Amino acid sequence: MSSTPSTAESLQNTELKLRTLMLRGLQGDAAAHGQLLTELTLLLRRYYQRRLGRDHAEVEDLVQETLLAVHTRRGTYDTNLAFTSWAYAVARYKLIDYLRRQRLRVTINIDDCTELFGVETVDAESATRDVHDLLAGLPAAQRTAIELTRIEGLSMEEAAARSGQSVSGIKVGVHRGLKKLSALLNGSNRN
Amino acid sequence: MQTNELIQSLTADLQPAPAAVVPRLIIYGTIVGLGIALLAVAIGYGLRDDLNSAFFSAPFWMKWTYALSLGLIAYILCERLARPGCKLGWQGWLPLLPVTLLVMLSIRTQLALPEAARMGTWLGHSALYCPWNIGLLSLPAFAILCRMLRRAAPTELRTTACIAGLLAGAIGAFAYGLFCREGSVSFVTTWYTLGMLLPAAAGALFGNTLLRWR
Repeated sequence: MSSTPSTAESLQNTELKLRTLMLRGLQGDAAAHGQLLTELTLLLRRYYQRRLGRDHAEVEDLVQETLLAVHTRRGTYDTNLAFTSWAYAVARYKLIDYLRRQRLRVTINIDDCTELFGVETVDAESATRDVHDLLAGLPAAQRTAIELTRIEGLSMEEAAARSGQSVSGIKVGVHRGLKKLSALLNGSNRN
Repeated sequence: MQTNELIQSLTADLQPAPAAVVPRLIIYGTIVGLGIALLAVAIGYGLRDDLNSAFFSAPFWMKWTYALSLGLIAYILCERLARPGCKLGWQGWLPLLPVTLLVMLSIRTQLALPEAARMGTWLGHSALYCPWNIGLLSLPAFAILCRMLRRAAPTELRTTACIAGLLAGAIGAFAYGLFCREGSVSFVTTWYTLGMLLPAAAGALFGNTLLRWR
């Protein structure tokens, strides 16, 4: 609790100090500008370390990119507004831009793997074929029960009406059929 | 490079920062974009041949007032969005002000018409082309404005591109007013607004790519 006012105070001090340096730098004061960038370096390093991890390889790159942006785009600072929120927005933009770049790179990698996509389609086809082959090994009543309820997605009642079996007959058929299927699958795996 | 070396190279031979960078960028984009749109209307479409008399008519100035007011609002918002960390807040709703006024006015004029005449007044004879023409005419302005804004430092890219699109749309509508003979309020309210929304929508959709700066 007691730390809150001192934090606010130090924020205000930082704002005051950095803003003064920025305004003098904008007028061409090289020493003030250099001091501003040096002070910002520490703040930015802490900011990126906190978000990417202490030893993240990109932290120093991001610090430098942000310093460069603060320098080249200092003309976009509205001198009526707070400097720290301007600098923070630049730092945040650079972080988001970096993260977006990372995501793009990952996307490109996935796109490159066309083989993976092809293999998947073949698998889906052969899986469908396997299911039909397996179902053919069941007694007719059980096969119909499974096809209607599990593949076509009908309810027990609808399946019963369609196949002419009783509802309990369908239920038993599905149950026994699935049991037999799993036995068949286990058998084929063992072979 | 070491960070302190970078700082040294940046501060060596430091010049005062040029003033009013952001307004200059946007005004430059606006003027060039408007110039191209006006040329395109004059050469590609041809100015309306009754321009001399139309220039003093109310419908003509309704179009221009609408385009100018939306353009001015979009400019002010754009000027703020081009700077890091500037949030719009309630001012983001300002573009709705002229739109709402015109919608209310067109409802009033439509209701005053006999029912049989309403559809014809609303559609005019060019409702099908009008939005596309305005969108097309705003395209150069939109491209140049995006280019200019990338030299500033927007951080809300989609919002900024949307507002830049609105500014470009207003430029397109302003130029198109020199060609278009439609005179009803409801026509302008619907089809001009749709036309101006085309680049704004493009900005909202593709802003992250269009305005990305490094």
